[in-house]
Amino acid sequence: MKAPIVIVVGGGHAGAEAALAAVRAGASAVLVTFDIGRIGEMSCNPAIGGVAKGTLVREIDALGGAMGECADGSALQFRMLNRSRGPAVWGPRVQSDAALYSKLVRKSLEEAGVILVEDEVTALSGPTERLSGVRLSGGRLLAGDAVVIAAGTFLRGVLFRGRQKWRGGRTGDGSSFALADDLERRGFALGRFKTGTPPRLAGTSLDYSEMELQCEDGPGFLFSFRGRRFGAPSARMPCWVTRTTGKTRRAAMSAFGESPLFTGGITGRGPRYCPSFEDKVVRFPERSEHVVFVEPVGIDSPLVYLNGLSTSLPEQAQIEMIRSLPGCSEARVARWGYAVEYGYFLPGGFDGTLRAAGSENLFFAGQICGTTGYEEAAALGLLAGRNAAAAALGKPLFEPDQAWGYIGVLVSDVTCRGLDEPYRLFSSRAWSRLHLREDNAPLRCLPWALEMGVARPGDADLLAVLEQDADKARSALESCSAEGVRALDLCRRPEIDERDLVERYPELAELDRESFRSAVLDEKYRGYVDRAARRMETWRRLHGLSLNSIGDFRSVEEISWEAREALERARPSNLGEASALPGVRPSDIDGLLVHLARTGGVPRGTHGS
Amino acid sequence: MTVERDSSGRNPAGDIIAALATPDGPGALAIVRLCGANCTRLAEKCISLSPMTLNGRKRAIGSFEGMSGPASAVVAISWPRGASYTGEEMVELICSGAPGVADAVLGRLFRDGARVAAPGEFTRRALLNGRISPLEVLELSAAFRGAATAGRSASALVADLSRALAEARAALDGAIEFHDSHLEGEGPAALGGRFDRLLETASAVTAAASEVSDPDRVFITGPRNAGKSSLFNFLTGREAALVSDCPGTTREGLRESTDIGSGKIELRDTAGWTGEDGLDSMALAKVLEEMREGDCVVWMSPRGRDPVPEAILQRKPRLVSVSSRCDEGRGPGLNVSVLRPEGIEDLKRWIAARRPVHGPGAAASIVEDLLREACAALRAGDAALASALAAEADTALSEVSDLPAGCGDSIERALGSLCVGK
Repeated sequence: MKAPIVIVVGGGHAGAEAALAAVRAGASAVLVTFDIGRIGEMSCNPAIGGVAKGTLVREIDALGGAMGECADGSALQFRMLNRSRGPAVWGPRVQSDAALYSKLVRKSLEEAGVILVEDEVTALSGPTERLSGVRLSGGRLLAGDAVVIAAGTFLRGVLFRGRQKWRGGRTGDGSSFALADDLERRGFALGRFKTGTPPRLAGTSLDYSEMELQCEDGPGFLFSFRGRRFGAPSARMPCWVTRTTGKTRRAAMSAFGESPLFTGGITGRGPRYCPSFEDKVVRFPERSEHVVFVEPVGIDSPLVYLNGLSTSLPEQAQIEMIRSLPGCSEARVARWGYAVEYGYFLPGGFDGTLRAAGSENLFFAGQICGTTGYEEAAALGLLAGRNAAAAALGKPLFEPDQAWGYIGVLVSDVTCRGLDEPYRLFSSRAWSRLHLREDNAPLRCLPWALEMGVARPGDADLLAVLEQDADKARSALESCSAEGVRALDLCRRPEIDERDLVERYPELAELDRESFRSAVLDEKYRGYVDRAARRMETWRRLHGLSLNSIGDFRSVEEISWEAREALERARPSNLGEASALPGVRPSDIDGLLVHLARTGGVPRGTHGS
Repeated sequence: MTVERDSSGRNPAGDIIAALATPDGPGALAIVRLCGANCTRLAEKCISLSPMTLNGRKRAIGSFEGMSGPASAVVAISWPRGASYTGEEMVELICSGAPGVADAVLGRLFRDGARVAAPGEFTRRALLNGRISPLEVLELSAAFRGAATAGRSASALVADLSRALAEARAALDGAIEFHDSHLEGEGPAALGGRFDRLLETASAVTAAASEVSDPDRVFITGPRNAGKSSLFNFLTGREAALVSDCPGTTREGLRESTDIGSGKIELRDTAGWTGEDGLDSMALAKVLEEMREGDCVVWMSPRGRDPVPEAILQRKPRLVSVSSRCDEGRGPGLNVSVLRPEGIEDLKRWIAARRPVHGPGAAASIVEDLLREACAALRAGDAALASALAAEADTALSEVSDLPAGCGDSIERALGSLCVGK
């Protein structure tokens, strides 16, 4: 039988993972992009990972994705963030050679047999319930069994700089208006978000002696637990830190009259945690300086990226701002900063499998789902590509569970929460970050990779080895004892880490180091993780508990009057909706449970933890 | 938060309640409180004010026709729905304290449709309307018991801690998410200082919340002359109970607050059990009436010879049987002698170990323990663990003021203990 065809619209981080996952899941993939040369491009920051994001990359890797390997193969600098803040929030991050990264992504696609098509998708083809493919420019039909849209910022993308405004999803690229029109005709509601990027400078025009050096820290790591696939770049490059001054601020403020953000040109909300410099000036008037990281774009690239100085002010203001930075008084600008406003699908347009509402074989992935960030996009792409292949093959779809990892947290947040700004993953969004760690990502996610059919060949054996090592480490912790103290008990003390244990119990040194470290952390956090899991489980069970048996909330004596009124006005159908209402306190939720138990709406003893 | 009513303006309890808020008997002033939808209309009518005079937050002087002369002048103060103590429409009528005035006013109000407020009913409405928290009810009740202390109240301290905890959690999470990647947020020293201060506030909350918590009640029961009063004296450390070798000396139950372990108990000496003697049976019936499920009961008899009466078992107490006066002869179970003394520490441990674990004091000490762990985690460089603990502390803190299910009894008792006009 011929493999079904999954069409992926877009060649960014979501599109690439979608095509690769579709192939691993047993489909053929055709990736359509404006410009094959810009596949896997880092449109903004030349870096991958960070707190929570780095853990997500390791999950993508364990789920068979390419992002981890490509980041390892193009890294100019490895840093483990939060080394001093506890192993649960370690954030692996690399500074990437952007051109090399993009080349490795394209290489991955080619090696996997993904067919690359350079064209514009102008419309979907066939009824939304069951699409027959997509229309390319000129009206040609590209037939396929499922479609993943991963258009990034290209759906009605409009770029802004000062009073200038032009169509595009990214500087130098076109924009997809026709496809957006077709999607809206088909009943999908589009919202508007905004993001932006800082200027790129000619690296040779800067005086680095006036900046702080920032180098790689400590021992290295790899994102990919499978080891290196692409070799290592030929050199390491440092970053530099400089800071804005009062002059930078004045330069920005003097051009506010021409800012599309403040003069109504841009209406979409931007990411609060990745603001433009003009936003920072307005939101933090008391701050005299803001940090700007000067990051190399690549070994063969003359450019540097100004992380922290995203702006859509006019060119004259940008050059004044840049030259006010220590070390940048002679700076030459290679590419100006700009803002982009783009369309995204409102929650409700797709479900937790990323399948579009009302369709059998249409999927959404990446920034069009309302997220921001390469890592978030890649994770959604992987899921959408896999599920598109499954839909085409007639297999069940998967919705990632929060227990798998950040990928589940991400999908649940994006589909269940109303987004009022581009969604960025934070470790504090995790139900238990003590469990969703970077070190145990393979153990958490490999079983799901195998179950979903997106694992790489040999992954089943790797998982067996990992599980064996984990068992060994756990039993060693239980059996090791010195002066009457078991290693298992000692490791629960906050100040004790795996090195202290090896010092005290030398036989532990024989264990696989990574597995041992994970086992120690599992034991250390077990009690807290179990509590968090129970809370989540209870909440999940209670969340869907029906309140339909309550005729009039004002007669529920177990809860406050304020809550009774709020509940009667909104008449929520289940406990989850009830708890989200303003005026309903946790004690009222307890009261509702007691009421339901008393009136037979729920069996006694449901209320736990 | 204001309480919105449906358009009908329906009263939650369905009626207007009224009561005297000042002590019975003559005084300079007597205050009558009214609460419930449209109670202002009733008040206006009662003191001959034109309708709508008391709409909103108003003060007006009227005249009560049932009296003549200066005693007829009544000052009315009104609060609209959402702005009063109870959250409902309220009026206070300040009348002359001359004998009979307030009674006559109340009588008029009852005739016009108000009903007598039950003890604590105003406060109950405030609680139901979300105007005050269960913890504040317990505080009020403690204040009426005379247990109020100087300094910030437990609920004010909970509010302090809640605010500081929210700020500390934000600072901690900000440092975790942004410090290394953006060089933003607080360093370890500043965060450590924050958490040390949190812990101090949490200790103050525990102390204040324990003060207003229902004390664990411990009944000392047994046949006459089993040595109950001697034990009571020994445990309270004073000569409170009248002790004699003559059986049946303790007629009225004595009660005394004392510390056992790290918590307060309310110790009660009871009349001896005979099962037949009329007087003692009455005293005993009173004890049984006060005894509630979960109370601690120490049943003592010399050499443990008397079985626990069925009437006590039916109350489902936390029960310990003691062989008393063991200096004279030993029996089964825990042997106790006040003379020697022997077994007293064991008995105290038994009582302390079985102390009920709900109530604001217990909830607050959970918060304190979690924050202590969080401080230790921060010192050990594990901000992620500290953050998880702080989140748990935050959840636990809401139980200090809102009280989890299972504390309903103590709230009911607290409401019942308040005077009628409160």
